[in-house]
Amino acid sequence: MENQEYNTQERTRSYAEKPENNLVWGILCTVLCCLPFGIVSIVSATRVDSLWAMGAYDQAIAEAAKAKKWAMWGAIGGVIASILIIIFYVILFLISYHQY
Amino acid sequence: MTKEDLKKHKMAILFPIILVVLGIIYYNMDPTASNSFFPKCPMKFITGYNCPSCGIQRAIHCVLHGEFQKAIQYNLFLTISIPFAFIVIIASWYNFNHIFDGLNKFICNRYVLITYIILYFSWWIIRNILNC
Repeated sequence: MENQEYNTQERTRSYAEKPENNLVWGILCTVLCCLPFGIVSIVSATRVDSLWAMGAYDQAIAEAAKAKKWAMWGAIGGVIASILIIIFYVILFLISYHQY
Repeated sequence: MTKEDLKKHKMAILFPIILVVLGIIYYNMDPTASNSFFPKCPMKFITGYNCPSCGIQRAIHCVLHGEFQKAIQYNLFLTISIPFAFIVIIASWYNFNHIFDGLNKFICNRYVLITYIILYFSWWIIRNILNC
């Protein structure tokens, strides 16, 4: 019973404020070359505000989380790929260095 | 400033620091130099095609040295995307006391973002056809 009460309290608290739509990460992801996942993030981010305005609070929160998730995967993918490419360059450099 | 404020405005504080550090790195190192270890764009590395943001590192190096014309030649789309990214950053991270609520409304506008996405994809196609 107490737990249930806590839950409703928690819900009203989280409903009081519109979730951060995480658009900024999607835009940064597309600008900084982190693969096209940024576009998915932007599309989700656009839905947050309109869903919130319609009163679909749960869906709005879910979309915001989705926007964050895709931007994050884009960034992680971009960083991992960049590190792999740097390692590749270093190996190439070492090989050419040893040949002479 | 309370601890919660600090957590909330974490990016507002971190962003200028990141900007300055990257500025120093890109001012001093030339990505076109043969001995540079700057990572090539993963898309370009794998497919050989330019992605919409390819050339950003070379362009930033040129801009920091005042060579604007050369920077535009590397990537024309950056003249749209970087100012837009700055607007989005200011509106979302520096929205203290709701001063940028109007700007927030503008960037979250469906049509603004659809235009951005359409420009992004058309630039992607055009630059690979015209090879620019």
